[in-house]
Amino acid sequence: MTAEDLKLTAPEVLEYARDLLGKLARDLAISDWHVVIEVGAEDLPEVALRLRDDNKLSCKYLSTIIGVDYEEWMETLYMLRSQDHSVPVRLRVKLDRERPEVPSVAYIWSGANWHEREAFDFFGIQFQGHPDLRHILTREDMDSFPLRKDARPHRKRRRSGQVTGIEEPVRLPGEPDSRERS
Amino acid sequence: MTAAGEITGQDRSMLHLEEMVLNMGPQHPSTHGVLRLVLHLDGEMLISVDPVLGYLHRGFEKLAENRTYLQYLAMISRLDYLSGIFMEWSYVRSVEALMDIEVPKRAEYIRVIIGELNRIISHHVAIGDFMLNLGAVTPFFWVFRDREDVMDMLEMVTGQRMMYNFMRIGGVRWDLPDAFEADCRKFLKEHPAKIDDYEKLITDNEIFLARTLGMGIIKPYDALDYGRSGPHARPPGAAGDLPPPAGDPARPAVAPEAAPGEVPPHPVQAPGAPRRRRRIHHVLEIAQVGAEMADDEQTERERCRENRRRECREEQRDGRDQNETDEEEANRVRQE
Repeated sequence: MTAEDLKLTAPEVLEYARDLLGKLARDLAISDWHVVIEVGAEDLPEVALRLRDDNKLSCKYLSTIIGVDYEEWMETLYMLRSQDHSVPVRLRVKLDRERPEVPSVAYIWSGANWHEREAFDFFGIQFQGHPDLRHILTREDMDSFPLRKDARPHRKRRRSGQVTGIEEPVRLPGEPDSRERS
Repeated sequence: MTAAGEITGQDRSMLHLEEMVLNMGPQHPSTHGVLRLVLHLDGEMLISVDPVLGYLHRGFEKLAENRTYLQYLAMISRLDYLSGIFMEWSYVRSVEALMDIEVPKRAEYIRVIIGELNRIISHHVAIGDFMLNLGAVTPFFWVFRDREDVMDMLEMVTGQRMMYNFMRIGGVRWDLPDAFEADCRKFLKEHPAKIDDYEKLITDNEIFLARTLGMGIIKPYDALDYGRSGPHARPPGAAGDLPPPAGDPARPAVAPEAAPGEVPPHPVQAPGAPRRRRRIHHVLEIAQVGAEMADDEQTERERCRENRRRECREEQRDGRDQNETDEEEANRVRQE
């Protein structure tokens, strides 16, 4: 890393990314000192690999994945940083709200594994090809996605009779099903 | 069983060796970081671990949905109760970025000073708890004793010991009290000696070394790949801190950061502590100059005000004199 690389500015990164990604990038913009790249869900793994392995951008650090519910559509945001320059890159993938599906990037950045589980947990976004897409923070038998804008608090749903309480016995992950055991 | 102690063939089937699932935890919900580990064991060998988390998820995002930006402010310091200032700071910074609000310089300085103090005591707890988890109780008391000095200062400034609620969108709640500066300078003077004490107590301690050296090694590439940052990424060596984002308003340009690599990475002690202290020193110096300038301005303003008052008084007196002469004239005319 040289001082020159660190001086890479957001417009330079944007132009470079435009050349690097070509048609894969649907839209590029600078928003709040981030370079925001909108990509289609099907192009995400290709874009992620190119950004990670490029010598100049080298976005090897995925700080987080965020799910967003815009009520009309859903989005996943991928916050990327590099050790070699100081411009954060944000990938933006728009998803169909009825069937939110996006390819997993857990094999590109290992840290994505739990972030994707969290986004699945709270927004019901299906990450295709994820090695282990289970609930991470909510209960195992949680049947709704609490951070969707139309999700109501559990208490209210229970009062209205939509939820009666825990019906299935909670099982340890990896523990065989009690029915199988007997 | 062979001579080497290996279990083979028929012995293995006789022993009914099978994978055992063992539950470890969770700890009591008020301990630092509640985690349950589901262990998969083959005898005493650990095959895999399945971490179960979420015991402390409090649904702040959902709670925020039904509140205004101002209402939500009071909840923010609860996100991380050990460094509430930073939680508040990041939140108000986001709102300020959205609303395009510029923060006064003085408020920025106060934020940096309070923030760095908060960071120091947060590191104190980290050191103390880490040692406590290793079975050493003394360091815990030492760091908490020294943490108390800073807590007193923060209480003096914010009125709270932990849930500060001090940041405001566009500034801070109120100015620093007069007694703060002397206390802060005293702390900064005395604190390095205490850090040396921690070093003596912890860093070269044989038990500590025996329990940490060579344990849970993270390779530099893995650190980056798993998204470890800050103190978690520094020990592997290659990772280190990411360069600060250019143009990020969340990094106020009031105090210069130490050049990377200037402070050697340290296995236990808060790696940034000397840097933080220097930063506070620096900000206090700036604040000092600022205060003097403000005083000058104050005296200047006072002088102007005093002049204006005098002028007013003179005008009034002149006016009164005028009125008096008018009245006298009128009387004279009436008498005539």
